[in-house]
Amino acid sequence: MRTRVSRTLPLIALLTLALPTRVANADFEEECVEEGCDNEELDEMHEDYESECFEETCDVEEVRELAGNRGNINAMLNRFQNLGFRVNACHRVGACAISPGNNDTSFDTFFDGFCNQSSINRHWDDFEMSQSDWDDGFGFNEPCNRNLPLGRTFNALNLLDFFGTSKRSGSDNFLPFYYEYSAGTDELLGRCGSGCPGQCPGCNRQTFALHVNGVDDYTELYWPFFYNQNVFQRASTIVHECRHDDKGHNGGTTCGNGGSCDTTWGYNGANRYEILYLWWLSACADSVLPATTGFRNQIVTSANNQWDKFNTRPTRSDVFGSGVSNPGAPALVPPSSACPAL
Amino acid sequence: MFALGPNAEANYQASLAALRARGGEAIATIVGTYNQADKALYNERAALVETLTELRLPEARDALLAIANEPLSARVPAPDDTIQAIEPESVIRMTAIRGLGHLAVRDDTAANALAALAKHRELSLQEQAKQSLAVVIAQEKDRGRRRRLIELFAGDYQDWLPLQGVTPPTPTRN
Repeated sequence: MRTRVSRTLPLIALLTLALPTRVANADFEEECVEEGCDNEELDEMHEDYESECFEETCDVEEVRELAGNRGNINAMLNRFQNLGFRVNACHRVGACAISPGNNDTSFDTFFDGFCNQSSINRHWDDFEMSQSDWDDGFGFNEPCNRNLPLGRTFNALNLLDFFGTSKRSGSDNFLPFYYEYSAGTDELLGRCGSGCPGQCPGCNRQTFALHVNGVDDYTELYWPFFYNQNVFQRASTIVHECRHDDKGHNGGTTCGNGGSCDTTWGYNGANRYEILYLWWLSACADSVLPATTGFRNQIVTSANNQWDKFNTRPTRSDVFGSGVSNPGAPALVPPSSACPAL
Repeated sequence: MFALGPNAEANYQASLAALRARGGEAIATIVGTYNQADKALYNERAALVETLTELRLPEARDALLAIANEPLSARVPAPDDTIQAIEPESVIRMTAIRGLGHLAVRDDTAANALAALAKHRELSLQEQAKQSLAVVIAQEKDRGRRRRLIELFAGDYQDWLPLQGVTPPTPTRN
């Protein structure tokens, strides 16, 4: 993301000190929607935005004032961003503004390279996807576009099937098991919604995905899944949600996480599946293509961030059985694990 | 950083070495970028902190301390499958704590910080701090320092040493 150092800020600061009240500049509605504004005028508007929202903390109402009305907020922020000015994604209104961020750090650039007609057909069929769930801006007509929800979902599925679509007979390497398991149990639907993507007041919670049990089980994937999670987190979310085909959460809200709690490791629910998938990924990614330590570190850290989703903290004996050393010690995903031969 | 391939690790390590050669300048740039970054860009911020951590430069200590101790919003009871902003934020803090662990091998301030973070209200941060400090204790050759670090540790540090060379547990469908 490009950021801009303001050259006129000191002058504005002096003016602010000299005047008892803020000078009300014309808003985006007047300047840009009604008249059509140039870059200089946008620069001035962004000065106001900088002053209100970065030097101080602004709320939605203040952003709305700068934009003129609520319907202009995203357009204003897009214009700022197009000029290389910084914006806070939390200030966007609605949940369906395309906001891919850096596709390298989200790993989308890498896994987008595996998107081809064959992978599209496989994922589309395996996850029972339908055009009506993925058109209208979700990417149905551009399935390999890494900026769009469908392309980003395919990237997660490309990671899931990168190590195989089913476990080989006789192999103890379970990494390929997770594609087979997920594909066999679920249908994926793209959806808008679930709030803004950040730490805004009143926007502290986001639904990434929701599993719906019924005659036909399915998983709805929401905006934060596409744009707030990197590829391996998205893959682990799909594994988590697909486990809900068999088991929901049974621990209420009394675990450290405050929700999505499973009572124990032995319950064998979605939280255990998610940790195990990340654990196998950290252990066995190298068996197909060597991974960087940075990649592995972030997978392990994400896995170890899940232990507070159990009402009873899993121990080594819960995870490995009673023969393990120091069985009462807390279970941890180690920085490096062994991968069985393929 | 986030790459797979025959040369991925070599390239990653070469990038880290190039940054390491720039020392404080590299750290200042990374920290400046982190501080300026949109809070909602969790992946970008985690990547910056992962880089800071893996540089393993003593000059990064104060920045890692500041990141590890950044305030976190309170957890509130939430409907199932709702992710609170605190979750990706915790990954960023845990990454910084790992970085402090690398430095605590020689740096008492970093070791003391880990002992304090081991009492953090958030379980994930608390556990990462315990794990990092336990590894420092296990590696410490100086008896006096080792004894002091064990005294700092609340509980038995050996409980927090990750198992080495284990295969991940087998998933079951039951």
